[in-house]
Amino acid sequence: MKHSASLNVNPIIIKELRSRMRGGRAFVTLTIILLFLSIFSYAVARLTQAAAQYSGTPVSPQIGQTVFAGLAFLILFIICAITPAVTANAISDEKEKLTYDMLLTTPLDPVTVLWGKLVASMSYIFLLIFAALPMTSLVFTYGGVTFRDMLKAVGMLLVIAVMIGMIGLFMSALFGKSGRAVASTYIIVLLLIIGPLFLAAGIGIFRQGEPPRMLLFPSPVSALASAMSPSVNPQNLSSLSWMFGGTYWIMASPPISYDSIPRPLYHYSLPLYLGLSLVLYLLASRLVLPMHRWQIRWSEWVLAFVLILGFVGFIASAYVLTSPRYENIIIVSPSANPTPAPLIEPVVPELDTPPGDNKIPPTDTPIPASWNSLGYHVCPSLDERWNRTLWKS
Amino acid sequence: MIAITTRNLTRSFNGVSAVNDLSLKIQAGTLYGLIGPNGAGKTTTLRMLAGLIEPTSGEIRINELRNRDYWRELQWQIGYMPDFYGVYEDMLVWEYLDFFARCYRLAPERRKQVTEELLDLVDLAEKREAYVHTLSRGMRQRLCLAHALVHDPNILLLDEPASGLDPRARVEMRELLRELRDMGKTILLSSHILSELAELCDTVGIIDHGQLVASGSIEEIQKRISQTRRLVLRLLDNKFIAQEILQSNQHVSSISVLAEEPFTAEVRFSGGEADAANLLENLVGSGVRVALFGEANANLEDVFLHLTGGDESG
Repeated sequence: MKHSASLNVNPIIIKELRSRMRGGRAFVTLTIILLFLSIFSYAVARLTQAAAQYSGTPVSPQIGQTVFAGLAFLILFIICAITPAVTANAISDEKEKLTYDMLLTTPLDPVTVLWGKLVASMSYIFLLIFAALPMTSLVFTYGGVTFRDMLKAVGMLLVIAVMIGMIGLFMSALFGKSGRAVASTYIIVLLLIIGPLFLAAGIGIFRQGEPPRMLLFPSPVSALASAMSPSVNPQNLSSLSWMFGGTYWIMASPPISYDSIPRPLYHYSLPLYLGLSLVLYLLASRLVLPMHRWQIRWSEWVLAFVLILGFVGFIASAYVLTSPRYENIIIVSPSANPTPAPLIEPVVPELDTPPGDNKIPPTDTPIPASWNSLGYHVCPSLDERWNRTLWKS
Repeated sequence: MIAITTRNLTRSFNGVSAVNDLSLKIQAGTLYGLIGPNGAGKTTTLRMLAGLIEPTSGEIRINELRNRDYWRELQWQIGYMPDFYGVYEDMLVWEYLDFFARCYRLAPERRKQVTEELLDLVDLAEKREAYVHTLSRGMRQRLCLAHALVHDPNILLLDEPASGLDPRARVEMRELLRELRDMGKTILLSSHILSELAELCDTVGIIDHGQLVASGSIEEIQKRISQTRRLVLRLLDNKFIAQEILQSNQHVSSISVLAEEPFTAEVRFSGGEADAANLLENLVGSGVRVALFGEANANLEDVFLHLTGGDESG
């Protein structure tokens, strides 16, 4: 009877969810965050409307896009602010409260503890993201945002949340002291967000020109911005640019802009985040062991190797499969007359650049004479046609 | 059958040995008390037995299985209650036990049954729906004991199970441990309070500076260390004559005066029964009126202080 492993849910998950979701505290927090989000999006909508009165540009999709981007970034910052607090004390708290020994004497595998902690803490963050979704989808009433954009943004947010959560868990297992773990996680997240931006800005100033965009890819802000950029035109977001300074233009810029990177930035960020999460998970699964931490068995080496190899293979094949779509762009790219670096202007400029969609017509279609006529040439999908129509409306 | 054997068990932390060459043998179905001053290595020993830390050298066998090779199997046979333990906030008493039952992968029906049985056993049934952090110290201690019993282990390792309990709770804990012993479990508990163990344990081991200085039943230990018996005398007069006689006696090694009026003294006496009789005869013959002449009971605290070098702070 004793050894019969019944198909049970990870006990840690049940325990964590029981205590975390108890007493309405979690739901009060959630309500406050949602209220905050709704006030914020209302404010952004009013702001954009007010700005549009002076510039006279098409209003509705612009508002939709601005509100959408604003909400996405706000949720990103909420994730960055909350996730370390939720995850970075997960393991160290058990050690500090001296319950870890009690767990270790049970047949519960420390790796199961780690997994349970990750799932339980992530489920709270995911709940937050998904609870914000209905409100975010209000932007569809304004238009200007496709369902695909929404999926991309949410996917990006989930990956970023998992990465930050994994950093927190790793620090928690590494230090075993909640204070240190939480502090170091916040520092790393902060560095991840602003480090690349400052570096890029610094190099830009130093070189008196366009900073290399590649520098920005570790930053979650850049990643999210680039994931949304095909239809959320950065120019529409000038009212938000105060949040990130001038670098917003760079990180959100469409694929074929000022540098030699053919792909949007998030294509580099995603593998980095997923790979980092995987590596940190593997390391943390050793750190949670009470002894023999680094006496890794042969089978465990193989498992880790297979996991990493599988991940690398997955990313590589994704790159190869999508390469016709992106690397072709270089051929289309008007290298003879490179797009100049944009000027940062306080008012919304004329829409003289295309929406910057990734799906530039394949090479056999006639090259458009000007960017403005691009939309009339090829519309591979209905989605995009709709998107472009909105853009022009 | 021997439940727990350690052979030359040694554990050092950064070169300082906490447990030094410890060899224990604990019979199955007995209550063994590990006793020693703070910092003697009791907790380290128990943690090694529970498989939480690795010995620097030496060997542990539990139920004749070497714990290095069979630690996974042994997890099912050992219940461990740590010295300082935390409780999870925001958790109900039954959920706490349910959680550990889940950790031991008990089937749902069995889990429910075990939880109820254990709450009855440790007398917390009416606190079933209370939050763990609202329990009193004694209740928490019992709950923690219950958690160690979830998988019905045959060996219990209890680190200071009675520390911080009021006398009533201590008695309850003692009753509980006896009950568990009668169920056939082997219990190894540690304490730095002697009286706690004296009434409870079948066998005690006295540990100091990581070494076992004595082991056996309490009577055995007392006998072994008190070759010099202590005599108590109460004299009504002629105490100066008496002191002279005592000092000249070859078997008397020291005299300590306990009270002046009436003169009461404790004498360390190394002689046998006949020597004691001679001494008494001598005293009475010199005109000393002896009101009391008897052997003082070697009390446990003395044994303890004697064995641990009189240094209780450790």
